Amino acid sequence: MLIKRGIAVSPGVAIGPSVVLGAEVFKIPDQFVPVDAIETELARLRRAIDAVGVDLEENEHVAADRFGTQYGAIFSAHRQLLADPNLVGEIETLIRTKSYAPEHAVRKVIRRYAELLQGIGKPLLAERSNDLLDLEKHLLSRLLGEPRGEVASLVAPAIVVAHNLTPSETASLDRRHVHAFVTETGGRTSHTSILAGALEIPALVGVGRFLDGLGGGETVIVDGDQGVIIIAPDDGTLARYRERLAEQHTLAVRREAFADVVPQTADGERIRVLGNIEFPDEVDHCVERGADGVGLYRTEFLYLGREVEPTEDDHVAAYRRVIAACGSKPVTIRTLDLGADKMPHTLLGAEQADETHSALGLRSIRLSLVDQSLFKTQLRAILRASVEGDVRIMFPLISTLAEIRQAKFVLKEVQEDLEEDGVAFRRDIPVGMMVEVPSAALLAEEFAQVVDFFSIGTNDLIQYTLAVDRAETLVAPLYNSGDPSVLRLIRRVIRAGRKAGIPVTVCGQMSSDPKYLPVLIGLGLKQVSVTPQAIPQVKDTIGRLDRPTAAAIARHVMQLEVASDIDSYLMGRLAVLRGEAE
Amino acid sequence: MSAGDEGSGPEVRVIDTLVGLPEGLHMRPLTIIATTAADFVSAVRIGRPGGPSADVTSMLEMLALAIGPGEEVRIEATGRDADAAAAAVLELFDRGFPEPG
Repeated sequence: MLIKRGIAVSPGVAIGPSVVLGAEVFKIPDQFVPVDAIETELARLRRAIDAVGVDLEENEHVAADRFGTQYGAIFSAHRQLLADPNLVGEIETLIRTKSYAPEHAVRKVIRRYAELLQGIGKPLLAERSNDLLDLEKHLLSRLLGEPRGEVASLVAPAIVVAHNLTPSETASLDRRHVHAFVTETGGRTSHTSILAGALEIPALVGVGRFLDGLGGGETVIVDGDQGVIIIAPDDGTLARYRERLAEQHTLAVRREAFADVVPQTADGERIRVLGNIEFPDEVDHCVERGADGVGLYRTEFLYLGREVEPTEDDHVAAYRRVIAACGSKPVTIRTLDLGADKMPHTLLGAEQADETHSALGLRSIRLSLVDQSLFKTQLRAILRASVEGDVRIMFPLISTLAEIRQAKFVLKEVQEDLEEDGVAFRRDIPVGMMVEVPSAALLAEEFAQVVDFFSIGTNDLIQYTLAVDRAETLVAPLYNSGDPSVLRLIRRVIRAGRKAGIPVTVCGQMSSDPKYLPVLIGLGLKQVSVTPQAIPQVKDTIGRLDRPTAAAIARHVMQLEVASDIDSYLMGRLAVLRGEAE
Repeated sequence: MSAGDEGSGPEVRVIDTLVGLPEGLHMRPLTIIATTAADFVSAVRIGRPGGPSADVTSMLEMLALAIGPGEEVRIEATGRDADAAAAAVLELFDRGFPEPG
């Protein structure tokens, strides 16, 4: 069994035989052509270019129809690249003056431009070089007379693994047969990743080298939630993932049925189920599943993959999109939650920023408080957008009372500035904090006097409580949501919230896992924020619970001392709730 | 600058603007610039004022300029419909590069 981590770009779980797509193995027959054949070769090149143009137009329509016009636009950009007079001119010159075969000339010119784009040193441009290589593949397969569609011709269920998938290959994947894909290269903002999300199949990119040992046909598991691929899994792992897969299927079937269900326990306690989103468009996934709002709107995408700071208007546009889709339902916007090492353009300067890269370093609210101009831009934008719906502000990684007071002070300054400028904003905008550092959980009663709501970020809370970096495979088994220490901290925060009369939400991955819902609700939680895909399943589980049962489950769990005992007990209870056991 | 007389040499129109797009001038906006400028007979170039410029028919030249968000851009149109061509491209910047159609 081999486990590799990558960048999860589309959630879900898939299991199946691997199909390895080869690297671009076009055998170019001859490097040169006879001088008297140059005109025929040039004509052959032009026919290939025309044919590829027609293909791209077709791709554009297919992608636009399947996923929407913005995806079709990727291919209209490819067409424009193909029409670049420099590109075609240089290819023709090489054929004319050096007697290169068209295949050879195409490769030479395109590779040179791809390297040029990679060499500029901007990650987004480097990813665009992939678009050029897509074009090269297209042209070569036309010139060599090979019908394209290695990927499209798959007829049995499979997991596609490849060094690299081009956008057009990704768009041509047939969801009926391709259940997931994994690539060695790629980043979150590549066109391939964007298309993966639209396809709604699990996908990982940027895994690094793993294809060497793969012959194809091995069973692989792709976990697009955790960002791992498991090659040749052992029986236990396979069984566990089969279960998750079965859950996922049920979920897909129930998705529609649960869209209109108002989540409440069997004995009538209303539980609010909100969605966690990262990109503005994901709000649609929440709305169509009948979410009670957006409980966590991450804003890091605004800062990543760009050279300069986003403007206030960039922020406002991204917020408005989500607020409009939510109507009167709440949208909780979390301020910047990144490390200084990922922010090349803060006041710190690159050298100092490079010094800090750990989970314990200068990140998140700490960075916002150091670079206040960055922070104020975002706060202004949130305040401006606040008049258009039910907007709330949330500060991440708060670890001391001084920090939350300082953050609120900066917010107040921004409000005064807006007032002076005569810009409308909501004065009583609720201000909350993430509880994800044990110190914040321990002082929850004191914090409850300062903020309007708590949101427990379990992912980080677990990491900081147990001192486990969950990205490190060697210690990954120590990372456990059900650890008694974590549950005690959660209980403490829920109690502090109840005592002070402020809402408490759990927004980490833990709340998306139905087996933890009984204990969370048993502890008195009334609000969860989960990945949009999990909303129907969470609603379903809530509807099968009643408060006395949940309270009894929570009491029992609080007496257990070991995480594995807690997990197996909760799994048993979940099976009972679903009527699958006993 | 106003329209020049016919036959008095090619007319040139230069306009400076700012890139408002959060991603800078990447494939989508460049595609739209290229297709928009194709409707005019004038040659249109874009670039940083005082820096190298790119012919808008060449996606690659434009991409290689790597113009980011917030940067200043010079639009330069040369030909008998230079005014209209430059204005059409400027409008794209002003309107945030809407998809054509």
